[in-house]
Amino acid sequence: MTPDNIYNEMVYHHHDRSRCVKRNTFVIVTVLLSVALLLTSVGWLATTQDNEGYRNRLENMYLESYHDLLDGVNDIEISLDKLSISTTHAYQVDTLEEIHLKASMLVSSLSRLSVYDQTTSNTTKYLNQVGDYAYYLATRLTRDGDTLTPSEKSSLSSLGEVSTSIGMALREYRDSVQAGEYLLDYSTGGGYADAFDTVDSSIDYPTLIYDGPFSDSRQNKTPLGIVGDVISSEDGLSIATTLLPSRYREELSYRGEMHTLYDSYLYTTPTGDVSVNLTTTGQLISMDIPYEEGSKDLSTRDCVAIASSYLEEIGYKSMREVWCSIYYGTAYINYVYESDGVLIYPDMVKVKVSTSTGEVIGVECISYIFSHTSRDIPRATLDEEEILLSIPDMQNVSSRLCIVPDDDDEVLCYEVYGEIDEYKYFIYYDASTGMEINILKVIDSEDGELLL
Amino acid sequence: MKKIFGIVCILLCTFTTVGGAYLKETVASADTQSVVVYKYGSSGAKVKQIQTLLKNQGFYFSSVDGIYGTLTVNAVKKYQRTYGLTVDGIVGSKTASYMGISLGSSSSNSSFGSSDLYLLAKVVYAEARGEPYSGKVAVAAVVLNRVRSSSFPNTISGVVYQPYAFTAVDDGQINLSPDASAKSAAQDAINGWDPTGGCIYYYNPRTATSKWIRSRPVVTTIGNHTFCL
Repeated sequence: MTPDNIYNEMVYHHHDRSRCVKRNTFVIVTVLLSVALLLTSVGWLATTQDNEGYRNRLENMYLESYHDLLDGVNDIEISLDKLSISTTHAYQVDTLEEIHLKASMLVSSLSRLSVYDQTTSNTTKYLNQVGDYAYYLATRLTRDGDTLTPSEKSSLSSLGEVSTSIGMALREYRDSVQAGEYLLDYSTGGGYADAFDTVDSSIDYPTLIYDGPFSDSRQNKTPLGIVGDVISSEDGLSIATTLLPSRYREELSYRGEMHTLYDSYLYTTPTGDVSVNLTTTGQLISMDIPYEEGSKDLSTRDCVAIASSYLEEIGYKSMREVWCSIYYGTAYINYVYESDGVLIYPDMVKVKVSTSTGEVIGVECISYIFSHTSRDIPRATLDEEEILLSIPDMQNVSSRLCIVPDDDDEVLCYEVYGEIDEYKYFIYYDASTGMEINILKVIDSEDGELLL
Repeated sequence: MKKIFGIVCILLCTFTTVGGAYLKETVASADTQSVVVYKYGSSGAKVKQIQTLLKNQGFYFSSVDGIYGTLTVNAVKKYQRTYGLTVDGIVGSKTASYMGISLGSSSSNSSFGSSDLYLLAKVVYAEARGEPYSGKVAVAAVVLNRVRSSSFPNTISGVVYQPYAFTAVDDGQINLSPDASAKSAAQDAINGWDPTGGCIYYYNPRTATSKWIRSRPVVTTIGNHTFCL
């Protein structure tokens, strides 16, 4: 073999080897790719089938709510029509209670539909008001023993017209629905979701003023406790700093005005952790400072003493502690205004005290700001003894006079406290009729403590 | 050779994305099965049990109040040092087994009497865990204001689970376990604290795309959230 041949042989061998490697690589890549493709397809298929199943089950839940709504709106419409011709007390009360129940069920059906909350908010408001108004009327009829007045009937029938148009729009959709159409696809509007626009545009139903939580008067009530002249934000700042421990005073600054049912100034530290909110007349709405760990371990009694002297200092006189609960090293103490030995529950102020530092870390006066005013407290026409005769068999019974909120009104009550089988109850009896206004059961007795 | 490496990389990526979807579920279910640890900020009956045990053995001298504060942390550290455990002040499965107490699963040890309060804490944690404390209370207050408003459902769960109402509920973050700060923010709101003055909406002005929400009257801004009526 010549040197030339040897060279050729080597080149040949080299080419042969590299071709071999190339072929192997090609095989490996092909196999890997096929395996990957196979796994991906299997995975994709499984996921698609799963998704299909999930989607159908979800859609069925939406459809259930949709049909509940359709039927329910129809029922309410019919009940409202019946009321307009009914003339007897018992039938009217029954029907009103039916409407109340139906409406609250429909509110939850509506809230389960797959649409943005702002789409349904007017319809929700309508249903809540129908139910609430029906409940108010049923209570009034039961109490007064009479029948619906012409003006109540006319309010009810204009509410009925709204039900008619919602129902019509929902039915129209049902009749036009195509195969493969999903309620899920109308989250931002269109399709059946347009039915909820009818409450916005087509009908203007009357403003409802009555004693109920969703009454239009309740949603726009004015704070009675705001008194005095509007002060400047700078004057507010100097009031705000006096409410805080000295270490935060320097850092506190004016953040701006807040406009809600009342106008207020907001003061915070740069991080926003410390905040004071005052009415523009300089009255405290709320104060908060961060919780810090300390070495103390204060009892309820210690915390109440700290909170009481703080309230006294910032100008809240005649406040009486009624309840204390401790969570995560924070004592929440509720105070109510006391006038002539009567507890005024609507005028409530809440104070937070850290059990480990003994510092007041929060105050909240919203209820007080809304309801505190000079009241003529009526005299109780029933004696305490008379009330105590009618109470159930309880241990450790005690009682006192108080004013409690009752819808838009306030009622003078005997607050009777007692224990049955380790459970603690508060029963509120109307001090002039002896009727039970409310019964409270203390649920988590481990966390809260009654301050009598 | 480089090319092959590249192809294999791409293949691996495909595998992990496809497999990822299945894996996620497994990991999530493993999370909920995990044992509870007791640490700074915990509270409840189990903490009382830990404190009692530490007190009986001469590690803890304060009152048995069921609140895991600094004193409890120090006592646990002392206990761990004595028994040659990792000194971290946390009662996990190892420390607990030395103490002879069972920690149980997360679901059975909620210190909340009310499930509503816990649900509220979960919303706060999911929606506002990076916010200042008053921003957390504000989110809880918005939920409660919605419950009171006639334009929304009338229960906490109705408001929380209303479709599209809260991003963190729609994307599943609601299922994370709330921390102590979220729980006390929820507690504050239930006790009547409302830094928003009655707001029923809030949004992050940097990410909100809805024109409608931007048309609402703004009341205040706390941290990253703008609160409106």
